Amino acid sequence: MFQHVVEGFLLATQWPAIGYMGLGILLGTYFGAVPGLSGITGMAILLPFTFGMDPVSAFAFLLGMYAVTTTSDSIPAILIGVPGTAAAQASILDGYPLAKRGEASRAFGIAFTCAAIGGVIGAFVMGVSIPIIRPLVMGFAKPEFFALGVLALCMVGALSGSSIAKGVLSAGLGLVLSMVGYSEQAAVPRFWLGLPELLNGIPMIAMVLGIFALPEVVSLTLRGGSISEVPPSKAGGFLTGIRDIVQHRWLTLRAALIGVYVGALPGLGGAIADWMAYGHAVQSAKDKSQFGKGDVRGLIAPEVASNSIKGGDLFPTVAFGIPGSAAMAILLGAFQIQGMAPGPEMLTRNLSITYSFVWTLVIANIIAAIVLSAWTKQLQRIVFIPGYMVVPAILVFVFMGAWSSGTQISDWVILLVFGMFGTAMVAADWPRAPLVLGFVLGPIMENSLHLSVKAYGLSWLGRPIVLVLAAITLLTLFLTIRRALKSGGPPEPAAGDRGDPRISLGVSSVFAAVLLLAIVLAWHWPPAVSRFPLAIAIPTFVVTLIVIFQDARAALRRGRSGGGEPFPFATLGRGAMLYVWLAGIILGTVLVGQLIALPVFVLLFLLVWGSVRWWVAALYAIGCALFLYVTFDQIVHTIWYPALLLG
Amino acid sequence: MRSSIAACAVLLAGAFGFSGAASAQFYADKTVTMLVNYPAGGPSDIEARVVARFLGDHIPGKPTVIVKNMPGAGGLIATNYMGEIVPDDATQLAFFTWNPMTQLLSDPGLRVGYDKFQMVAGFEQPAIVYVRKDVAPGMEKPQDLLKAGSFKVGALAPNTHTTLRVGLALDLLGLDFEMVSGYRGLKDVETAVLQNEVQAAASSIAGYRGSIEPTMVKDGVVIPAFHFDVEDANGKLGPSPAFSEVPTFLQLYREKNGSDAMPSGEKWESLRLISSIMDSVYRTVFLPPKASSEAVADMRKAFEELQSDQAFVEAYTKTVGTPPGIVSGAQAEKVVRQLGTVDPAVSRFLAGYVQELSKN
Repeated sequence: MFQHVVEGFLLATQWPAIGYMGLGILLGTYFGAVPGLSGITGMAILLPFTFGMDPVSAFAFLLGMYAVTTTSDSIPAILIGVPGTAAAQASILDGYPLAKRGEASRAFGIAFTCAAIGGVIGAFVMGVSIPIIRPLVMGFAKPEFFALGVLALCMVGALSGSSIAKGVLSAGLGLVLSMVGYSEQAAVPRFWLGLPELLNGIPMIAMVLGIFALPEVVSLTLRGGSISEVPPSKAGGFLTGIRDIVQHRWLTLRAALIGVYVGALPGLGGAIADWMAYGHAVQSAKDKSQFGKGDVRGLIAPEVASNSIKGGDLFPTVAFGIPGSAAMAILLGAFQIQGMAPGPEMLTRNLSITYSFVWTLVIANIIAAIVLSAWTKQLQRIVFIPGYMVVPAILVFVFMGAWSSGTQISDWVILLVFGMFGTAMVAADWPRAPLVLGFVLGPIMENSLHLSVKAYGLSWLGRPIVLVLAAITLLTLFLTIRRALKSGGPPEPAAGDRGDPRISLGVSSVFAAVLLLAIVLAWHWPPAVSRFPLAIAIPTFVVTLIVIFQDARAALRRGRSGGGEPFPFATLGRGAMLYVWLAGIILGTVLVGQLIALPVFVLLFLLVWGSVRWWVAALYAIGCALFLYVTFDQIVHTIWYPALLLG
Repeated sequence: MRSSIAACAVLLAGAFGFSGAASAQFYADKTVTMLVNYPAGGPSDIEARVVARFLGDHIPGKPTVIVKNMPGAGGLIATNYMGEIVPDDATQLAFFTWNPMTQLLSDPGLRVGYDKFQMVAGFEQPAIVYVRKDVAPGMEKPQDLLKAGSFKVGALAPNTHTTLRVGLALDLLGLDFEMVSGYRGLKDVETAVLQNEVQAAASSIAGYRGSIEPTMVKDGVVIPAFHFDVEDANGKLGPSPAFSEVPTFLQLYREKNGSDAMPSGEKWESLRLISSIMDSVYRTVFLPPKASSEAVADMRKAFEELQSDQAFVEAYTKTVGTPPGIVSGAQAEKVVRQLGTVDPAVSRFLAGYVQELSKN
C-alpha cells in the first residue's frame, strides 16, 4: 500500500498534472467565492476541457477545482452573510456575526485553517479507511437514511436559539415546503397552486438566499453604517482564529470525522454534514449562549466538516460508481470521458491513481488555505466600508445566485417572498436555520421512508444500524429536554435581542395559514403522497396555535404595560420600499433583461439610497455589467431572461 | 415623420434578423445553442457535449455550437421553453432526454406537445434489465429469470417510461415481482440493487456499460437478464446489435410460451408503443415549432453526416460505451408523431397502470 501512496504522490505532482491542479485551484477559489457558481457548476463547466487530457491531469484539474470551492465559499458567508455554496449555509450562523463585531480576520483564520485541516483529515481518513468503505456503503440503505434524517432533525433543538417551540415550527414548515411539486412516490403534483413553476418544487438556492441574505441586505441598508458595527478589533486577528482551533482541537477532529463519514453516504453527504457538525458543536458545548452571535465553535465545526466531506464523497464514487454528491456524479462523467471505469479495480489495480486523487485533495486544500490567508487583510476591509457601497454587489450576487439554479423569473419572485418572510422572522426573533434544515431533510426523509416500507415492510425497524441511530436520537432528545428543564429553558436573550411579539404574531399567523392550506390541500390525495405532509403539517399546526396564543398574550401584556416601543411603522415602511425596489429588478428584467436591469438598479440604488457621486455610481454600474457579462455570459453561458423589449 | 418610422422599421428589421434577402447558409455567422434539459455532467449532458464538439463542422455555414443546461421538472422546463419562449428561434437546438409519458398521460407540466416540434434526429439507446444472481433459485443465465421466485424491482417514479416498461414486460412474462418505485435517479436504483434492497432494475446502455457492467456484473453481483426488442425499418422486432450477448424480451417470452408465441392485449400494445418510441428516439434532437424549413433541412443534414464522421464516432463510442445510433429526422418525426395519434384506450390503460403502481 505504501508503494501506491508514494506512486500516487508522484503522479499528482508530475508535470502537467500539477499545472492543471494549480489552474483548477485558481478557478475553484473563484467558483466558490461567487455565490451562485459553486463547485458543481465549476465541475460541469470544466468537464468538457478534460476531453484531450490524460487521466491524471484531468482528475487533478477537476479535483483541484472541486477541493477548494468550500474553502473560498466562506469568504462571502463571513463577509456579507451570503453562502458562497450550499456547503457554507451553516457557516453563516456564527461566521457573519463575527464579522459584524469587527472580527472578520479571526473568522478567516478559523475558516481557512479549518478548511485545510478538514481537507487533509478527510483525505487521510478515507485513505486509511479503504477497507471499511464497502461495509459502510453497503450498510446504509434507505432505512438507515431515514433514521439518520430523524437524528439530523433532532438538531433543531440546537439551532433554535431562544425558543425551541419556534424552532420546531420552523423545521415543520421547512419540511412541508420541501414537498411542493412532484413527489417521486407517485405521479401527483403537490401544493403547486396551479402554477407550473412550482411543479419542480421550491428552488432551494433561491429560498436560502431569500431567508438568509436578503434580511441582512435590508438591515444593512436601513441601519446605515458598515457591516461591522465596531471598528476592527485588535483582539480578533487571524492568529487568534488559529489559536481558537488549537483550543477546540477535539471539536475540530470530531467535526472532521462527521464530515468524512456522513459525506461517504451516497446522495446525502454534502447536504447535511455541515449542519450535523454545527448541531454537534452546539450540543457538545456547555455554554450555548453565544451560538448564533459569533461563537467560534459554531464556525469551526461546519468549516472543517464541509472540506472533510470531499474525501468522504470521493470514495464511494471511485470504488462503486456511486456518487456521494451532485459534483461526484459529474466526476463519474470524467471517468466516462477518460474511458475509465469506476469500481473495485480503482482500489486494486489502479490504486496509485486513486491515491493521486487523495493527494490532489490534500495539496489543493493546503495551497488554497495559504493563498487565501495572504489575502485576509484585503478581504476583511469589505466589512468596514459603508454598507450602501456593499449592498449593490451583494444584491447582484444574490439575484444571480438565485437565477443560476433554475433560470426562471419565478425563482426571483420566490427569492423576494422568502426575503420578506425572512426579514419578518429576524424582526420577530424566529430561528431561520431549522427551516432550511427541514427543507433539506424533507425529501430525503420522505423518500427513504416510502422506499423502506415498500422494500422491507416493517422489518426495516429492526435493522441494527437503524436501532443504533434510533438510540442516539432518543439520547439526544433526552439530553436536550433534561437540559431545558434543568436550566428552566434556554438562556434568556438580552432584552434588545428579543423580537417584537407583534411581528412574531404576524409570522406565526402566516405559519398557521400556510400549514392549514397544506392540510386542506393534502387531505384528498392518495395516501402515498399525503401521508408524510399530513403527519408533519397537523402537529405543526397545533403547535402554531399555541405559539399564536403566547405571542398574542405577550403583545397584549406589552401593550398594557406601556413599556414597549411604538410599533416600528417607519422602519417597516422603508423595508417595504426596499422590497419594492427589488421587485423593480424583476420588472426591469422582464422588460430589458438582466444585463441592463441589474446595472441600472445598481446605478439608481447608489444614487438614491447611497447618495454617492454620479461618477462613482456609474463606474460601479459599469463594473457590475462587465462582471455579469464576463462571468455569467462568457464563462458560464447563463441563459438570460428573454426580455420583452430587447430579447 | 414617415421617413423616421421607415428608418426605425429598417433598424428593427436589422436587429431581429429579417434581412430580406435570404442567406444561402442559414447558420453562417450564428451561434447555435444546444439546450440540454438535464443538469450538466449527467449522461444526457455528456452525450450532448460530445455531439456539440463535432456538430458545427457539419452544419452549412459552420456556426459555433455551445451547450447550455436548463434542468428541472423532469426536463419539462426546457421543453416548455423551446415551445413557448423561443418558438421561432432556429439557433436553439434541443438535445433532450424526454419522457413521452408526460404527453401520453396529459401531464399538466407539459405545455407544448412533443409532436409540435421540428424533429432533427434521434439517438437510439436500447435498454436492458439486470437482476441479482442471488434471487432464488439462483440466476446464472438470463433464462433463469423465468424460474425466479418473488423479487423486488427498483424504479424511478411510476409515470416514467422505464418504470412502465419494466413493469409491463415482467407482467407479460408472468413473474412474481413487486415494483418499488420512487427512487430519485438511476444511480440511486443501482445502489439499491447493490445493497440488495431491490433485486432487479433497468438501465440504458450507457449506464450499463459505464458502471453496472464494470462493477456489479464483473463482481458477480448481477447478470443481464434481457433487453427490449428493437424495431427495424419494416416494423419487425429483433435484438439490438449493441446487446448481442443478452436475449431480448421476446426471446425470453418465447422460451416460456413456445417458439412462435406472440404476446397480445393492452399490456403488450402499451409496451410496444413505449419501446418503439424510446428505443429509436431515446434522446430527441429538435428545433422549435416555427423554425424555418431551411434551418431544419440544414440541421437534419448535419446529423446525417455526423453518423459517418469517424472522429465523432470514436469519441462518442469511448464516452458512451456504444457507437452512436443516429435516427434520421424524418424517422424521428414519424416516431414522435405517434404521440398525437395514440388510441385513447391505450392512454387510459396506461393511466390506470400508473395509478396501480402509485398505490400505497
